[in-house]
Amino acid sequence: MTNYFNCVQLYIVYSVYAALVLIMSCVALSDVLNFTENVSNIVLPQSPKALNDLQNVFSPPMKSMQLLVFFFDLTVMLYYIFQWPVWDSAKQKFPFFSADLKTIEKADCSNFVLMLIFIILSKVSVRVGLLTTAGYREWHSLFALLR
Amino acid sequence: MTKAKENINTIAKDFAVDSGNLDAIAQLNDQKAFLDSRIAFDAIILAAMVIDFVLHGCCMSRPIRSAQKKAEYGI
Repeated sequence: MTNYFNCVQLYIVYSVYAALVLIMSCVALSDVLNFTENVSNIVLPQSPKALNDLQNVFSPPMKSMQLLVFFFDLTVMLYYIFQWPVWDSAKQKFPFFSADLKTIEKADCSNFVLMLIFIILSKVSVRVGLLTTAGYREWHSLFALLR
Repeated sequence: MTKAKENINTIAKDFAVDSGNLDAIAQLNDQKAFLDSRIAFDAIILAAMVIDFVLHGCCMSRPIRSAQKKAEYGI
């Protein structure tokens, strides 16, 4: 097994894998968006309030959670795209963007990947969590935060 | 998702007595296909996540492209 993995560049395996997962996540998101859109348009003429629970209680969290899964898969895919060799020439000119140029002894928090991780783990993750769980009204507070 | 399906089934059962609701209930029942599809894809994504965890565990000691980078950067 080790010999097999030595013959293959792992970033290709991970990238293809992440792309497949992202495609499945896209399809699942599409299903949920279709479901919520169609359900919100259905009205029972004789019992207009019958769909209240489905439209206002069950559908919004489903949509939010699927968006969270989609954005997570998208982030993973972007991470592996960032590892592709095509960016090496650009990274070489900007050491800030090339984490692997630094040795372990000289490691610090000044490269792009580490900064991204710190930012994602701090306030961005809080905002994304709120956006995906609390609904679209949170966009207003996000814009207020950015201003 | 399961609760949403149960809710659809309950609505279809309870409000089908009014003939004016039948078309809307038929539309509602059609939407269960989207839920089933979503459940299937989410199950596949979950399985993929577990496989990904195992794959990363097997290759934990191996950088994804360190040899190539060292050659390119001349390190």
